[in-house]
Amino acid sequence: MKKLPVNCPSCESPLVASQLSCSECETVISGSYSLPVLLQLSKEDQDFIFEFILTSGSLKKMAAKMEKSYPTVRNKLDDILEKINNLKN
Amino acid sequence: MKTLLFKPFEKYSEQKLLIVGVIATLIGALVAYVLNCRFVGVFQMIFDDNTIIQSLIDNIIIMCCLITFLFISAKFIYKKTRLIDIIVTTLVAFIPFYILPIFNINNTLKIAHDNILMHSPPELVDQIPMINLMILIVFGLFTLLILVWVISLLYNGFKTAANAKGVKAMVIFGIALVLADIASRYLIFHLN
Repeated sequence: MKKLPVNCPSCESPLVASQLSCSECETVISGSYSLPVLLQLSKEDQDFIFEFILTSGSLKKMAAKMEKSYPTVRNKLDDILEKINNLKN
Repeated sequence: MKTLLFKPFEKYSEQKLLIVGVIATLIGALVAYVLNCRFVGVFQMIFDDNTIIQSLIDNIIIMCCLITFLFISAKFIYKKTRLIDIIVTTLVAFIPFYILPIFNINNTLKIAHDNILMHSPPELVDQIPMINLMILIVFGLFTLLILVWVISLLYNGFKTAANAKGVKAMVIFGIALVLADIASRYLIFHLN
């Protein structure tokens, strides 16, 4: 799957979605839609959040599944929370 | 392998690390007792006759001092720090130190040390037995390597437990180590 670019390769500013299209009827919508915060995270961080939801938010289960220690997983979650807060501000 | 030797705290659960740490601490105290060594501070080992109880008490005092100062520092950096993570960090990070008493099999290091001291007056310096000097130099260099290993283990464990980053965390960690060393030396000197 292709990685969704979230920052401009030229000036590194956040990108916005300017065109959406329907793959069935080829309707095209133009505009300027900012990307959701979660999409602006790296693929690794998005995968982490996905796993977090799949384990019902249990860091202990996640640690066991990822074969990492509990504090390592907790630190990763805290780092992602910090990134999300920075993106929101 | 690098993770196992330097960053076990990132991978292994606290239960596994705690079991390894407690067993290693008991073995370490036993080895120090059998080979006539004493850990009398976080960063100090001497050659001295002792009892197994004294050896255990020395280790417990050192661990308690390290755990106390590292935990207070970690809490200062990161409020969610768990005590168990600091305990396993301390117990596991100290394991390499337990290799050091092995150098004193048959009192090798103590004899070399005493021989050199005996030849310390200026007129006797050129009579220092070369073999004794070599033994202490090799031991000194090996001790430095072990020291680097222990400190990197301690720092990696501290970093994981306290989600610590940057220079500020390193400085706080350094201060905690120095204070733990001073406190442990003081307590061992006054309690034993």
